[in-house]
Amino acid sequence: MTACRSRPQPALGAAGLLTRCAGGLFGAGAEVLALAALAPLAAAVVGSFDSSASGSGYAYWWASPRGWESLGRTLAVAAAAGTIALALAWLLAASAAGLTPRWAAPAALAACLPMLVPSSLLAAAWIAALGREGTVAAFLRDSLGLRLNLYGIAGAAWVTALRYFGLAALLLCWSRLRREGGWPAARAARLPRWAAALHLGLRADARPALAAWLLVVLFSMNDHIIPGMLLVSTCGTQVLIQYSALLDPGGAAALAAPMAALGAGLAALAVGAGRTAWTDAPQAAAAGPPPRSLPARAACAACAAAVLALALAVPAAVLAARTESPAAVLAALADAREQAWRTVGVAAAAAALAAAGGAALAHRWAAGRRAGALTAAPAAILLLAAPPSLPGIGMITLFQHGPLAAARDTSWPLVLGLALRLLPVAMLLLYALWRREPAEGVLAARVHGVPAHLAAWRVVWPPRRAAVAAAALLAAILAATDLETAILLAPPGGSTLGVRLYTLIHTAPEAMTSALALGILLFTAPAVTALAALAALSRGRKAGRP
Amino acid sequence: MTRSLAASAAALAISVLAAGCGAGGDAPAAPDAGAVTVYTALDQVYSEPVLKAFQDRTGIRVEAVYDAEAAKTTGLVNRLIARRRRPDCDVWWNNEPVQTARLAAMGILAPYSSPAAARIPPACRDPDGRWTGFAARMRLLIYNTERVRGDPPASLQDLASPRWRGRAAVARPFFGTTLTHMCILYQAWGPQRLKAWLAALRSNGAALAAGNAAVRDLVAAGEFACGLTDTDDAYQAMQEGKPVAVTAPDKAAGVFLMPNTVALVAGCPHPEAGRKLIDYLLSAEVERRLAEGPSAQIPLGTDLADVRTPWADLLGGKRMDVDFALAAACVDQVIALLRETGMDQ
Repeated sequence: MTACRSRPQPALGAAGLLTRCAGGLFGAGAEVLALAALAPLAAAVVGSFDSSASGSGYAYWWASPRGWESLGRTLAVAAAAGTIALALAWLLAASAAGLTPRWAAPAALAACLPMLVPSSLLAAAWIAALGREGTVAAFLRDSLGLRLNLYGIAGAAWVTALRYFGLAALLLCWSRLRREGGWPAARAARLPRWAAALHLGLRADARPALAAWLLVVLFSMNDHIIPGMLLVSTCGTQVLIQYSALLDPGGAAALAAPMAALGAGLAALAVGAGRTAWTDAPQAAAAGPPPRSLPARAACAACAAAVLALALAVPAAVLAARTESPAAVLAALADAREQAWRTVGVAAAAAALAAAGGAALAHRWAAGRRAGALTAAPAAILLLAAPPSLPGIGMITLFQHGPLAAARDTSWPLVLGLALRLLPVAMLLLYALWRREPAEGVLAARVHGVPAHLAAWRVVWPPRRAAVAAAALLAAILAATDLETAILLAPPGGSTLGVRLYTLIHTAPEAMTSALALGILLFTAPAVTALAALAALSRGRKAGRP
Repeated sequence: MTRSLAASAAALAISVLAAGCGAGGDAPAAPDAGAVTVYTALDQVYSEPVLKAFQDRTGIRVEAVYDAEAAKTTGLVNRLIARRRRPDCDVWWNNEPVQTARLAAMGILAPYSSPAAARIPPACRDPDGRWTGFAARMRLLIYNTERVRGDPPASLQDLASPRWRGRAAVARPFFGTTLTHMCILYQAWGPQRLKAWLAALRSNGAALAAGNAAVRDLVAAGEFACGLTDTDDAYQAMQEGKPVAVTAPDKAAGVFLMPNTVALVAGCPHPEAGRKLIDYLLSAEVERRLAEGPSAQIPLGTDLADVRTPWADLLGGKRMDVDFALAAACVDQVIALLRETGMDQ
């Protein structure tokens, strides 16, 4: 290193200057992108002070019990959903880890599958299962005498929890995988198993569990589709009424803006609470807890399978039972082919933009962290913390006037709305993968005088390709199954599959709706399989590194 | 490196352009004699076959714009109002008359006396020829025959009575035919009585569902004993063999019919094609199709007395005399009253 440092730096030629300027522009561009991405959010907040309702929108909602009652219901559903989700996730994480650590990650990823389907589909499936005349409800009533009422805060919390518990499972599994190295020390100290489980299990799970709970509460708070279908009026429902029925986007934004602030606070708390889960260096997962007996492992396997079956198999089975035949599924998709192709186009475009933007921001964030410099990149997380309606209303405002007005009736507002919504998802995923990237390759390239643009293309980009592809694929799946943003931004005559399903749930016969719902599941299956394959490929490559 | 760069750039470009290609049909098109744009608030499953039949018969390409269940008519109405200076819609096909009357009062609809309108009674037409009604629906009380013992609810006031506490469901009244119904009641009952009823309904634990079809589903599933909905929604449940029955509310005051309404948009890009579509929609053939189809609409044409609907018994009594223009004039007051009584919660 001393010899390297003593070598005189080559004089910068034109190419070198150009490269350095390009690097500076890229950095500045990433900062501008992070701030520009917040433009719809800012437009909505600015518009919230211009309400056509009697008086100020903020006064209408927050100077009376009206807004607080709505917020109370929203938080009640979200908090209950967070608690149920945490319990399910902890059960899954503990069961999967009880087999071998290798099962933890696949189990957590499988638990995230409900997030990859439209929320209306999940609600429709659970209504079919647990509604008064539902398949499962009838079984429970006839065999156990149990009478369930799905409609209300409890039912909405249950279905919402089943949709988002995968987030909690991912965090808990990740945290456990990083702690497995503590078990050899516990065995060496001859700690009783219960003491080791308490200190290495429950106590160590506390902070990741809190982070997981906060994240599920945040996502549940911003989901108004499931509560709405179960007759719970949340802030999201009110925003839709205010905007769609009363033509008062300012009033709608006045309700949604404080929700966004609350969401940002929850996100910040979640990051803080879970900091130890992802800032500690990963430990060798060599030893793990003491091997369990075969009956114990069988019990763990059964428990994990039961949790996953509850979240995945029950709704899918109920939908399949209500579909007349496989031909009906194909017929439903054929009827919806126009929406299907539009969904593919919109999702692909939104995913490409989200992945490209997310990669730029993640690179900037990681580079800033290594250099100890401040960057605006993390501000994009606000787009995830805010309810989808708020940037949606802002997007509509931006497309009403000026040069963007020409594209008002196209799918571009929807594409951009989805891209901005998913930008933080891509950014967070890529940042998590890149923040500890070894810098030796780039240093070596610099030492040998390789121009920065060639170093970026030949050294930096190749190991990142798979991650960016995975981020794009994840963003595409989430965009294809989005409903909250599509309801606001899809142009008339330009609806997506998710919006079509939401519309048909009440207007078409049950068999047709179930067939379309199953068709949507099959539609997203190839993309989910590809994502799983990419993740497995990435894990295999990491395992192969020295 | 060059191949990888080209492949990456091509993939990004194709993805970004895909949305534009997929959405091209939504952009305002240049005037085209062979096309007509219709905004329709009638459920897509009912209106789409009718529009397709028109397209097949005339060769005029129909660009239909539907709205989602959640926002129904109101979203399209707001869009017409926002586009009034440069409309992209030729024909407005609404599933109720009040919002149409509201648009007419705002000068957004153009007068057109279709020859086919002569078969429609004058009471279902705008005096100035700006809209014509056809194929009506009725507001009904729907109840679950397995959950209701004894007499079913017979009036709107019954929904606010102790017997139906926590057992009734109505659609959120800010949209569609429920908003229309509230406007009619505002006229018929006056604001004080309407306000009292709405407040009683809320304190009686009536559930607010996303729409009339949602009310139907909740009652058919037995989640709620009774509710307020429309004939086409109720008919679907009856056809599926669900344990439901219907009754007309407040028969003594008269049955309230809500016709579909069709109108030509003022300043539209394809007026000739628009008139042809209106002539077709007002024809006996379309009314018969809607009456005999899955929506069981009630034909208004004087030449369709032979058409039997499932609602013949309910239609036998007195009919409520409704001034849709007056009802349209009080939409804003009704919405204010609905918010005051917490019907948006």
